Amino acid sequence: MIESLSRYNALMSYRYLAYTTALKNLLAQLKNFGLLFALVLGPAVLGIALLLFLGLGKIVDSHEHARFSAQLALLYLALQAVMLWAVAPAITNSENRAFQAHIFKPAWLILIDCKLLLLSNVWLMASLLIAVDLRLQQWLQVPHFILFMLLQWLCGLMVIYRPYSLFYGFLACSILVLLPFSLDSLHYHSGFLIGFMGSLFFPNMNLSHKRVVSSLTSFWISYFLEHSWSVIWRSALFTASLLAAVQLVEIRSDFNHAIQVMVLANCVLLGSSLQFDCFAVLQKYRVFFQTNGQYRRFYLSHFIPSLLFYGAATLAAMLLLNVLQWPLVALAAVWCFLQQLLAQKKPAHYALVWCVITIGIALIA
Amino acid sequence: MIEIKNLNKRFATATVFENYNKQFNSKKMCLQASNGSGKTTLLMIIAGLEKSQSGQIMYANKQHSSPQKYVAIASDRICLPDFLTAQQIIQLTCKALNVPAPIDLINGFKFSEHLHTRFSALSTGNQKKCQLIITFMKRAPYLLLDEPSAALDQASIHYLLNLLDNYLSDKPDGQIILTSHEPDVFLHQGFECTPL
Repeated sequence: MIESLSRYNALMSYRYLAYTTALKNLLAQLKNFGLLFALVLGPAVLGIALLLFLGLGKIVDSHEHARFSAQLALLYLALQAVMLWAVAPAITNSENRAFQAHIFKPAWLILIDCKLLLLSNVWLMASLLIAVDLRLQQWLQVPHFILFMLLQWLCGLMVIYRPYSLFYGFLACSILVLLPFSLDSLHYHSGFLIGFMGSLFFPNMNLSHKRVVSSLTSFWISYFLEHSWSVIWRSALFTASLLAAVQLVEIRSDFNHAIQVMVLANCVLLGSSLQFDCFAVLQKYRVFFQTNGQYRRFYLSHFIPSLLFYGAATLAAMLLLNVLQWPLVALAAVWCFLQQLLAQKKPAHYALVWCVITIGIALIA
Repeated sequence: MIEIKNLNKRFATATVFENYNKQFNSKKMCLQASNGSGKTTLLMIIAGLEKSQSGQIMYANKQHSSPQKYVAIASDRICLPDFLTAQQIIQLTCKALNVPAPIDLINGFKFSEHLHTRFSALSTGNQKKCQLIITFMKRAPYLLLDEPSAALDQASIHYLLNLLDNYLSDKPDGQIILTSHEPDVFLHQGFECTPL
């Protein structure tokens, strides 16, 4: 028994070390955004935390706007899934999974996965804090909140064990919240639970080998389908910020100019930062395309994904917000290209230039 | 024939070649040296895929600004798109080189059943086969192979030797240079060993 406990502790120590090392590596990858985080997110940490609890409050207290609350709950689950997706390899130590399974009991691995998943899930911790604060009478009024926390845990497990099922789950739940009638919160959350549980029974349809890859376009499409994470987290962040901007425009139309600048700056940031990924692909496969005599075309093509992301994000922003003006959008496209070049040639200056231009345009506007 | 004149190549912490001169006189040559002495680097420089600080590479007494057109190379240092399947890599190469699908090579290396496997999931031997297939597809006059028999099964080594036997039949100015730590099979096929 003591020997078994000692072995378990050894595994736990190893996994915790692997977890912290992987997180450090992940943060090191974000070093290009270091100044940006320090300047923009640093002072806003308290605001972000408050916003997290404010949103949870809306999910808990949903009697008047059950549909909006359900949409918000789904957005929370999506953002949580995106964040956990980033740290999933650190949670499971997937690189050395075979090594662990070879030495330790499989049940121990799952138990430690769950511990590290809970440690990584700040969204669930925030819900637990609210849950602890609720009295029994309040619990009876908001039974759906238990289901919401259950969903948070289930989504976390799906991120690390069945990531492909998440897609079907979110698809089913999105259809539910977009239906033209409103249910009460308990029904919405029960529907979510059924949707996510049901998605576990869908098979993984891997069609990647059916794609014909015969051009640089299909090469990049394949790349982003296989490495969808970089597009998904950007899209999730963009959607969240755009929805916030839409709400702001409705409440404070006198801030239209400032909101316009911030939305465009956000499009430029999310679009041009994709260049870091594309440049890494260029460096990795440069020699392969040189041997095929396609290097020049490959070089030119690696600028396109981030410009496309910028274009799609700006178009979505223009459709949802009527405040964007064409000349500013065109100017921002040039700015996006400048940021792309900086991402490639002077990555250390990338964030600084973005901040300076954003503040400059905001002051002019 | 390939000739190297006054080659200088330094990495950040080590000098690999200093005023290095070498002439590859035979049509089929097997380059030999210990690990880490610069064989792969030399092949990459000859193929125009790695730059040197100075020096000249002569191909039949001519210099080429884009040697990639005349040289085909198979080396582990060339990173193939590991998120694609072997078939997709071959398709992409066919389109880029404007050549038909290499059905004979695929059958010869008994590679058909692995075509739909993602490159990163292929075994080392099958990754080597994929490298060799796309290299032979190019049909360039100069063929450079870095450890071509490493990790290959016996049947594939036999097929590779057959390919090498016939490779230069329609390339009068062509040349094959390979590196191998087990050169015996190549020496039996008429390759000449040379130190780096």
